[in-house]
Amino acid sequence: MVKEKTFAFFLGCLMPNRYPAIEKATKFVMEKLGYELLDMKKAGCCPAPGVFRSFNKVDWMVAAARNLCIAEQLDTDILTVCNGCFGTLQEVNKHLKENEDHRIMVNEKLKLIGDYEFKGTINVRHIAEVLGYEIGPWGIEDIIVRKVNARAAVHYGCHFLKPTRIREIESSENPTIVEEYLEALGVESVRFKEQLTCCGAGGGVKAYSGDASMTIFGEKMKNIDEVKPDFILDICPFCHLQFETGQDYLNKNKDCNYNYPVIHISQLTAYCMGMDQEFVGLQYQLMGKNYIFGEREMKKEEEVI
Amino acid sequence: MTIKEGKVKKTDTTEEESKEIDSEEPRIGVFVCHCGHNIAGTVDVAKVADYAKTLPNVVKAEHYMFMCSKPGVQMVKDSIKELGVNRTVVASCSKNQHGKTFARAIEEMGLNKHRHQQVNVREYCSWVHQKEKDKANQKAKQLVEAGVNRARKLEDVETRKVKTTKAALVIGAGIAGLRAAHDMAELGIPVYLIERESTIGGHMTRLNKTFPTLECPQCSISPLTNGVANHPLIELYTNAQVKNIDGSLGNFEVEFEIKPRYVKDNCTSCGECAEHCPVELPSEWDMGMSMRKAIYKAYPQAIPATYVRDKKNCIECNTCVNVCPVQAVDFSMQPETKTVKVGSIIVAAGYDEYDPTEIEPYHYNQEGYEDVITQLKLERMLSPTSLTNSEVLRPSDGKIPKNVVMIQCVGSRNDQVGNQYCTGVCCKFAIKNARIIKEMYPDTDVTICYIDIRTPGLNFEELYKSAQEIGVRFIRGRPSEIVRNPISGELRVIVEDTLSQTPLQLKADLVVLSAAMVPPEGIGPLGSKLHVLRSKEGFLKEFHIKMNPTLSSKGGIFLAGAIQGPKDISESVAHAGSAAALAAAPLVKGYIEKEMLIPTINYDLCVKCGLCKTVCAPAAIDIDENGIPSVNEVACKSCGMCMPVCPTGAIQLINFKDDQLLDEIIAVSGGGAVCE
Repeated sequence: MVKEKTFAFFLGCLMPNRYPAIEKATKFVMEKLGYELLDMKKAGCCPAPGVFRSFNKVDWMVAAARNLCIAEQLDTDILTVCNGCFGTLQEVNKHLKENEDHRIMVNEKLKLIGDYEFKGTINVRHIAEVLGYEIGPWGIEDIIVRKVNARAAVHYGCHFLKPTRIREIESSENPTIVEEYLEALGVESVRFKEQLTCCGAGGGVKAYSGDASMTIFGEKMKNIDEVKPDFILDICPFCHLQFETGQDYLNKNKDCNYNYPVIHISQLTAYCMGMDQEFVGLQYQLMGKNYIFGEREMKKEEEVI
Repeated sequence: MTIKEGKVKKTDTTEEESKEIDSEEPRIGVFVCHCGHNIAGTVDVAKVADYAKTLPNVVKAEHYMFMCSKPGVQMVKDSIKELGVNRTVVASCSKNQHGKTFARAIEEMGLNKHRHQQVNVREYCSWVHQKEKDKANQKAKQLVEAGVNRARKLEDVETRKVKTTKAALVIGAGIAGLRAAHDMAELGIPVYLIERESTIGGHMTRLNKTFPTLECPQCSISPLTNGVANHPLIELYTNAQVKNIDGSLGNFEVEFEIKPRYVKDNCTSCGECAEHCPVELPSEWDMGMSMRKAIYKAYPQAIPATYVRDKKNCIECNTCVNVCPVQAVDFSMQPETKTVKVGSIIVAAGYDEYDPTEIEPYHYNQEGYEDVITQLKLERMLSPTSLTNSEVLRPSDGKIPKNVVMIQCVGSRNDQVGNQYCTGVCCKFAIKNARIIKEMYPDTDVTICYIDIRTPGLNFEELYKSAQEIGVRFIRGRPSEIVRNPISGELRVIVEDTLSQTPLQLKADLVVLSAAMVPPEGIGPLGSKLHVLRSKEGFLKEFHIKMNPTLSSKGGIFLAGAIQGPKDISESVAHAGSAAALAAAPLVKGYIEKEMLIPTINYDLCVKCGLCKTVCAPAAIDIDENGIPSVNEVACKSCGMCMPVCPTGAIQLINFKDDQLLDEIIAVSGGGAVCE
């Protein structure tokens, strides 16, 4: 049994380097929820599920298994706030637990790089699933101190739910986990066209073919713009990056004039738990620098009764 | 024939299982087959035959190119005539393949056919050891020696005639069940036809047109439905379901329950009751494409024409009781149970249309996706009595669609839902319906998204071509998703045209899913009552896919139509005809031949534990009030399951007795010859 109320916090690459505000918000949220986050010393890249796996599946598994071993040694489940990290770590963890041949092969390779052995003792968790299911809309209401009055365009991204049979969280075709959670924070989610498609960043597309990436993203923004949300809510720093830099690119190159704030689920939750707006860090982002969360009146418990 | 004496006992006596071990010395003939290169290419057949000659009691050992050929069989016969061989061993292929050939040959020579022992040196040896010939030779010798050891103690088994009950049961009154029932009745066999629904005719009556001729199915089937309903030898029971089945081939006892219609047979089908009934709900028979009352007739031509009351939805206002001019409505009717004796059973339980709800990307049955329907629903929409007046209208807003997209292989050829098979009918009905829509509304674009178009057979390629000619568009690609614009509500089908490798978004006012044919609901419990095997897809499994696709895994129970696997109407009719002929044969003949290959019980050893009964699948072991077991000779399937569970070895299957098997095992395990 792993330690309760404790997670090994897997930072990944993007969040600490580009969006430290998400990291701060996540730590703030988890502390308020009574969890301890442990640092994962010597953790590496997850490595990214699209690119690395496509080139060399075995080494992809080995590198991921190394990260999993670090958490196993800490005897805790892994927490990640990124769809990519979740995609890789969750899938490799599940696969190596189930496939003995691959487990043996990966462990042989792990021996070559240090004192690592994949045992299959932990699980990998995503912040959206921890908030959406473990805490749940029913649980978060008691902890938050304010609600946000806003309409959000929710972007699930790909690796959080797809493929359904591996993730085993919720159907990727008609998910509601984030929407239901947001409702508890006072935020209304607006449905938009082709909501569940890719942001255009993952799978190496952004790095390999910027044009293709921006074509996909341009379509996405057009669909979001149709419903005029107050902000875009995501659950992944890479999608976050795409929404941030992508809007900027479209404004500069494609005659667009977008300025939608991009907010990670941790940032929004932290704000609702009382973190000051300045620490949410919108002023350091590219879009919606001046966006101020509108407040929604919290009903007192007596009134509910 | 004259050579042998003391043998060939065709006893008529039932008493005491004959312990007729041959008084004379066993004289064994061994024949090793080359099977062309199949065996001889790997196994040195001459050496195997030479080895056999050295074994005790072997008086002849030969090898020959094709033992199953006429000269080969003659060699076996000659050995009996010339050398007085009284047990034969042929080392060739599987017992299932040619065991019968040689058994028949020795029977012709006056030996009991159970004195033949087949040894399989092909599947068990030469085919699996092609790269290790030395080992193959050694194994072949051991297998032959085992066969010889086994042959030494083979006993005669008598064949007995069992009288059959001249009556048959047909389960399901769709096109296959009707055809089978009618064919058997025409052979003079009384038939009990039972149907779960309130009317007969099944899926066929629900179709708008049948391919490839675009004929009216009602017109095709009604002579048969009427013929069955009025046949003097057919007893029809609707609203009926099988409760229990006992017995075996030739003599079954079937119990079924008939749910009440609450309307007596004197109903004149005038319709007064339905006209005055205040409860209205969507008709299930019509897939919601028309409304019915709580007392209703499924459709105008329904047989039986007697109305039926839907007790669940009835509000018991008694209006129908009061308005019926002949006082036929009777709420006090009770379920009835009936038991019949039959010799054969035909299962024609049909199929269900696959429910696409589980394929989430297509959003079937979800809010906002009302315009995603199945082909069967489209058939009902087009039918003469539909709510839409036979027009194709979008369920969401009642408008004529400008763009219709049909998606093929929904629930077929789909590993994700667990159905690998191709239903084989959907291409044909989709093309048929696409053509009908295009002919009705030339301005409507009709697109069929397919993986492969499968239209084999006479007239079907022509149908395909005719659809192309009038402008039905075909796109090769399986749609990944049906997406709905949450603002406009418009549907689009996302598909890649794999021929031009172009990703497409097809605007769709109406999406029609060509859903697979799947085993009908309730087939699990029915299958268990029948004691028949099912295929992994859930259909009832045939005895042999090529040579006997209508017999089930159990003697006396036959399959007709789509219950054995997806079929169109023509195939179902042909299949049903075959089932009727096979099911009728033992009933027309009046008896079946049963080999008394059954276990005997040594009551001195029996400890009355009852274990043998617990493992007996065909329920052929009865235990009396004193705990003493006995074997039902007719029901026994000779499976031998009772033997290993018996703690004292009291129950022994003839020719599979412990000492007989031990002799065989000693040789197989390399223990050397066993004499005496």
